[in-house]
Amino acid sequence: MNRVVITGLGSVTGFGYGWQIMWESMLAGHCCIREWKPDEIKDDSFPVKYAAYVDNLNIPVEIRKHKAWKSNLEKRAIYGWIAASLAIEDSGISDKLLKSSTVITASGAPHHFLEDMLLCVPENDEIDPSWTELFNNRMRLRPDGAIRQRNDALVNAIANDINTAGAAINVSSACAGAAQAIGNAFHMIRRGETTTAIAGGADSVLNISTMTSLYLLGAASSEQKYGNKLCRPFDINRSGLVAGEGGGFLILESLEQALLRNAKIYAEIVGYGSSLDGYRVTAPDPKGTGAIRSMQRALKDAELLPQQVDLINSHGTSTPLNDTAETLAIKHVFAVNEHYKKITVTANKSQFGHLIAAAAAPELIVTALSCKYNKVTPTINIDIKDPQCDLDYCDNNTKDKTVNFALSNSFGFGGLNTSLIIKKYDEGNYQ
Amino acid sequence: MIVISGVGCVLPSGDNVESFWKSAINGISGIKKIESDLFDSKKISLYGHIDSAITELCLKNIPRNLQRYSTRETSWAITAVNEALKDARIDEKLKEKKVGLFSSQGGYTHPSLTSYIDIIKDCASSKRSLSQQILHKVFDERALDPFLVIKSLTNGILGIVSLAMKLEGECGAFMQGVSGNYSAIKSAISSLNEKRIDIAIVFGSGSDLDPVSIRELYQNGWIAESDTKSIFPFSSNCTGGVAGEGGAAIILQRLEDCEGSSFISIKDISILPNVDKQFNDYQNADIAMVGATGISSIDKALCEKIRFFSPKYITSIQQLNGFLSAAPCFSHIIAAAQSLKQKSVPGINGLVGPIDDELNIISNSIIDETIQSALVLTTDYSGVTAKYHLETI
Repeated sequence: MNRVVITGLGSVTGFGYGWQIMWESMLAGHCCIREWKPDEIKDDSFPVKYAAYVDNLNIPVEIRKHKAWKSNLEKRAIYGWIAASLAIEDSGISDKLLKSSTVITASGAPHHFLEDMLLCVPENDEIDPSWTELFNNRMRLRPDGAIRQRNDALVNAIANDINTAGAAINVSSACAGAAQAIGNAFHMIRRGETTTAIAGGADSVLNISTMTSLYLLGAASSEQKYGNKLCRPFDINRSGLVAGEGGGFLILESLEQALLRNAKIYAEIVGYGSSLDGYRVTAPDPKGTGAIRSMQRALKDAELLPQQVDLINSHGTSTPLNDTAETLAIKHVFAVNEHYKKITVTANKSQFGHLIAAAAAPELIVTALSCKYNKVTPTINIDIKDPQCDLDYCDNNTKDKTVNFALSNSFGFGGLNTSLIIKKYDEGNYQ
Repeated sequence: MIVISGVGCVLPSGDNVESFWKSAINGISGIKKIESDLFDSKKISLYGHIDSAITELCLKNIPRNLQRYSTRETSWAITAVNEALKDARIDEKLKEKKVGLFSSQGGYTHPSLTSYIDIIKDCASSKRSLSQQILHKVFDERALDPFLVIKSLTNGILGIVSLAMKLEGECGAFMQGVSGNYSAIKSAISSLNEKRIDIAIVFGSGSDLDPVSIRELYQNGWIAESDTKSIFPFSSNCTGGVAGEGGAAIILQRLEDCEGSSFISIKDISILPNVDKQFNDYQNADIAMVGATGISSIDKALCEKIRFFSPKYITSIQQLNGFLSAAPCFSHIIAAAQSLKQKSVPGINGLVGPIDDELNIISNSIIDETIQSALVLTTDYSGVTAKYHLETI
């Protein structure tokens, strides 16, 4: 079986374009969650008031030249395409190798604009609003809105851009989407089906339709007393997820190919596991049994003992249910010799929000960087730790720690769980 | 070795494998006049519909507590999976085994858009601005179903099927199309080969019956203008394709875990991103079950590929159901497996002057006891082509 290494990173988050600004900001304990409201809302009536949006007022000059801006793609696909390009550039991989690479992406819910929906209202008052009317008005629909976009737009944009003869695959696993995309890519390279993969995801739910649904479902926080510090995983006063937007991509290669082209190697991927909760559509199993199976399968896939794990990049959504269930699951999986007491757990969503289908991609980038640089980014905004959340969450401060093995969790609506394991790349060990 | 131990389907030409196969052998198509409450298309006249009465029956297969989250597509998925498990005779043993669930979800689902239109209708009489009224309806009257976000999730069918069957195993959720079907099957086979699971349930379900999908397919030249009478795969008089809907499921297991003496194995599968490119690996096959499109240029390109496999008989089932965005490979794999099992090959009813004289593209159904292997070749609007090689063992 081939060993699989990470040779390129690219991200677009509320911190900006590129992994470097994200990493530096996170190490400094910063947060990119800011005041936000949907474009259609002009007053203060929208209940969700904060999000980690991508601030496009100051786009770097080089990024502004990217051809994605001239496309009619939705913003999530634009962010994803740019993140993929940044990862490709970061890897220094040749066009020739890209032409045989596999592209595997996750992109989530489509972006509805209220102004598009209102096109269903006919000018003649006597006729009811309808889909028929909407499509009579189809030329007035926003080209970058969901009604004129396909869900596979991102994967096709990247695949066409690099002109690959490899597979172009679109994963659809909700909040575990990018984790499953990266996990599948890892397994494909390990099995020898491809030697190069561009894997990751992009998403944005920062639109009136999806944010309304998430709010009504009770998933999104509308808390206001903490200002932009409302995303507080594992804190007693956490109140729900805070959405982010953007994307992340990783270049994965077989170790053999990476060494042959003298590529810079960030870290190695060694394990991938998934599971189903079989519990409820909208809530995780409070005992965390699905999360337990997902982590155990990843450890087994990596042929790793629980005691070898140093860091867990948690799903850590800041929802009351997830954070306690995930804590329970971690304590169960790492119970031998109470190893969970030695593990550092972090929650990146406290700093750049929840990127939904794309969430795992920037989180895995941060995990790989932690392995490379032996630094753990903090879980910010923990003022009073929930008594049921009693692990070392790297509360509020960056930590220096040798990270040989790290596990990253991603759990999706519908009870779909995924865990990935990253290993520090050991330059002396080529076997 | 991985074998297909069970199959199930809800397709326009049949709401189970037996009725689908009967339609295939007798050349009875499920394609009808397009009908939708959502739009009135003047440019498109045909569609592969699942009858609403069938959908009503399928909906009853969804547990009551999950119905609020479910769509028509979910009901076809659950029904197809149930049939496939029964066919594999493992429905009772499911909880004792390590089961993996792999899905491919199709179509463009816009349930939230439909709901917003309903709300907008309710707002018609008020004097306040429409956007203010909508917000009032949504937030004060809670007029929007909060579970819409679940219904519109792209992994919706995977979540509901797993909950309906209380499955806890490995999973993979992919999007529609040939690449989605391929990825789901490939992931399942790998998990079985690496012994992480004992049984793989692989399925796809979706519908293109909304104006977004129909327009997209039409603008890309995949579905024909309104004067077409049907879809004519491989025909010299072909006029273009027809969209369709439905669900299909296959159960995969390792051969050593199956009881019985005769099975259909999946010997290999591979994918190409472009219909015009050629595969590197060729194995002879007795039949070719091809997702031909009724689009001359694409069917000719498929013929160029088929030639390398030297099949005795070449056929398609696309004319029975139309293009199935979520199950293009599953439906053809089921047809090929039935051909191998029944030693018969359905012909293409209405075939006129095949576009390739050298290939034996058949118009009438054939019985041939020597049939042992099948090539399944499918392509879709994104240009991806997948190849599966099945064999009787």
